[in-house]
Amino acid sequence: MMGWYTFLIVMHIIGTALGAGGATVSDLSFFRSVRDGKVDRSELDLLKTISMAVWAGFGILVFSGFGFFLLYRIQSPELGLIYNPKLLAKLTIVLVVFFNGLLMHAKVFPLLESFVDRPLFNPDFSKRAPIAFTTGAISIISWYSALILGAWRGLDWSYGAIMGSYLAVVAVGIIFANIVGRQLIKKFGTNQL
Amino acid sequence: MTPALAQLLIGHVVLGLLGITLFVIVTVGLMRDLLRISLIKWSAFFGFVSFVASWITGGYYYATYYGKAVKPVIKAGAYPWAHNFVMEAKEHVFLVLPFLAATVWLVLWLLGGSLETAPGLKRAALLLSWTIVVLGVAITLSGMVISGAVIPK
Repeated sequence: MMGWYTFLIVMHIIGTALGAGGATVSDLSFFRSVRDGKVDRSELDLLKTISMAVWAGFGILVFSGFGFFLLYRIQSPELGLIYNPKLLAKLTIVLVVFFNGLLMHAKVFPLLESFVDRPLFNPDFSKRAPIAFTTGAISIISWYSALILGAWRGLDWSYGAIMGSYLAVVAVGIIFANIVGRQLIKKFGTNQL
Repeated sequence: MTPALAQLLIGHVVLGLLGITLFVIVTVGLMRDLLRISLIKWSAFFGFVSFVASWITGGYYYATYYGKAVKPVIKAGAYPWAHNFVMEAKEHVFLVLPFLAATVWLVLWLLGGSLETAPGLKRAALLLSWTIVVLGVAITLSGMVISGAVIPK
């Protein structure tokens, strides 16, 4: 019979696959959708469906993560795992994923909704688009960072070193995403002229 | 810890997480232009029920076991502040959650139909729902900090 530990491992892997995979597909779909200078209804619906898969993955990941936590708390509290820097860093990054996801729902989806079937090359979209590029970059980098931290068994860096590296990668990712995004918007303009 | 107490602790955590999850659904639902009233009403109701159930299970665990078996271990360990500060804060802040949840639930049940035509009311409900999610996450993290500080020698 499958024990609790194995069950939680399986759920954690499913959650990670849905979350990291969904975030990747979401970012790729976003750039593919805006490539022609507009977002149509079916493209936005696809992005929303992928977003639901990412949330489902996140939920599974959080519940299975707390399952591990409870298992250790009840069976082996002497290990004191919660104060492990790697786990604290992973928790912090999961929090970033969570609030970034909520921010996407608050700002990015309404933005795309308001531009359905309208040309994206206009000052209003250009002004508001950085939030989409920024949250997209944070999402994908955070998901992969959490995945790497979960898989990297021998990592013995301090909390500060892990979070410093993570923030550096996030900063580079945000800059890169915004440069690519601006180039795309410029391209829409050139195509329309 | 007896199996019954372990189940209470698991119930406390899972029900709390479930309550937060349901209020995330309420929060995201209230951000939409076209509201799915039925979904957010029921999510708020079950979120409220989850918080109350988490309150009862956690309260029973706290009153019958935590004080005599867990608190001394934390206070004698490397992280005494996990009880002295975090638990003291958590047990007061946590009291607020079911009442906030009940308020959102009642607003959605009684005035849900007029949310789309009353943007001020919708904004207030959304703000309250956000508050529940943020407080819920903070309380969850507090629980982890407290529980993680139970390191028997």
